[in-house]
Amino acid sequence: MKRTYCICSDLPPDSPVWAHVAQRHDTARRSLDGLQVVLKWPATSPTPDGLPADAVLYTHAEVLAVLAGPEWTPPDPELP
Amino acid sequence: MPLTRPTSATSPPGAPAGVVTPPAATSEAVASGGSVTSWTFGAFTDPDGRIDSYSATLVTVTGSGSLSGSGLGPYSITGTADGDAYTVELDALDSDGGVLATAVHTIAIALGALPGDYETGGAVSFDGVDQSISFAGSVNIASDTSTLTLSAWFRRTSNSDYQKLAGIDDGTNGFQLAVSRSWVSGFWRQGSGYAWTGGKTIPSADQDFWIHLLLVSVAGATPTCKMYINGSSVAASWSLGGGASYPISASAASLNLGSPRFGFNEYFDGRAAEVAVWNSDQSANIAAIYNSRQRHDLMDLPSPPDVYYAPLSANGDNTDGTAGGVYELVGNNDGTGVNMDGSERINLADAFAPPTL
Repeated sequence: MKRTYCICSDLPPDSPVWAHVAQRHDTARRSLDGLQVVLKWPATSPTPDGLPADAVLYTHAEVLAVLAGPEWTPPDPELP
Repeated sequence: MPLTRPTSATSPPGAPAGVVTPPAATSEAVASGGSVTSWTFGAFTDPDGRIDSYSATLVTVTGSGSLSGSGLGPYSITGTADGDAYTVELDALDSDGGVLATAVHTIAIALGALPGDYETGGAVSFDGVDQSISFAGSVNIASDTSTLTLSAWFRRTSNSDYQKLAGIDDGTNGFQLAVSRSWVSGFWRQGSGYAWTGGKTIPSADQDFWIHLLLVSVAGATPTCKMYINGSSVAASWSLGGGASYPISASAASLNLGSPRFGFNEYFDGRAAEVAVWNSDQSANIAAIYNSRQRHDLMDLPSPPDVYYAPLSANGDNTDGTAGGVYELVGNNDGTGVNMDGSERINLADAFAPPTL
């Protein structure tokens, strides 16, 4: 299934957005500083109402590139 | 019957003038059932103009689709379904109907959610963003210093950095299979420290195929490990070095797929299947476990796994963590999917296409 991904400011547990995304409030992935959250929903579904104004939509490949960055992934340990 | 691997261009070196040679073999993976997107064969090399006509044959590996098209194309297959696999052979004929050369196009209709996949084989697709499957209390380690074997099939779907495919840990100490598209490694964690085994390269030609890994963690005063890729030993005895030592707590040990319970946020982006754990060193049984890439039931082995998830059949309603998620065949320690919506289950039509490693 193709999905639309979104990174935005974290949402409160009672946000209506959670009813329209694949994640739960307690399982969604946060940035390392805890201020941002990544959300996803089927690409065929409309964008959920109530997203913060800073929400940015991504494709799968695009969001993987963002999540590989230092805001989301700690520096690598020593690679083999 | 597994798909055969596409061959490379077939113009033989030093071939005499006038020889008809086919275009390079081609292949495609189609994401869902229905009509296959049409394709056209490349031109044959025909220096003397010997080709009079073409004849296409649908070689059905799995499925009941129908082929239509003529000449070099376009061709299409209709009436397909998830899990189907086809090979289409296009013969170039001379005026007498003799076959001058044959071009090949293979198609795998490999993706799409499958209900009731438990009996027919399946795998789970992870998106590399935030998905994992947890199996709390699932690993029956006999003691805190057990020797463990972890076996899994995987296939990466992106070129991103290393990721954690599967691991056993107690929340503090543990070991994992770490994979990238081009190499595999063992990764040990001891509290806040860690140790790598060193990476083993997967040849580029094999990186788009399913890979079998078997990692043995041999407990002891100086822990070592053994690694096998596609049935072949790539490391007979790696010392972890640095004074590395675990034990993993027998009472708290769990298996996790798709991400570590500890570590560096490396979510797995790809597919996994046939995950098994033995509470012993299974390196002597690698041939039977690998089984020449042929799908089989590990429970039929003389030493069956102590924990066995095969096929991985993600439950469709596990987003909220209340459903089983993935079924375990030995101790009914079903897993719980995290951030999955049920579409991650895929079939294994192309799981065992045979790379050479």
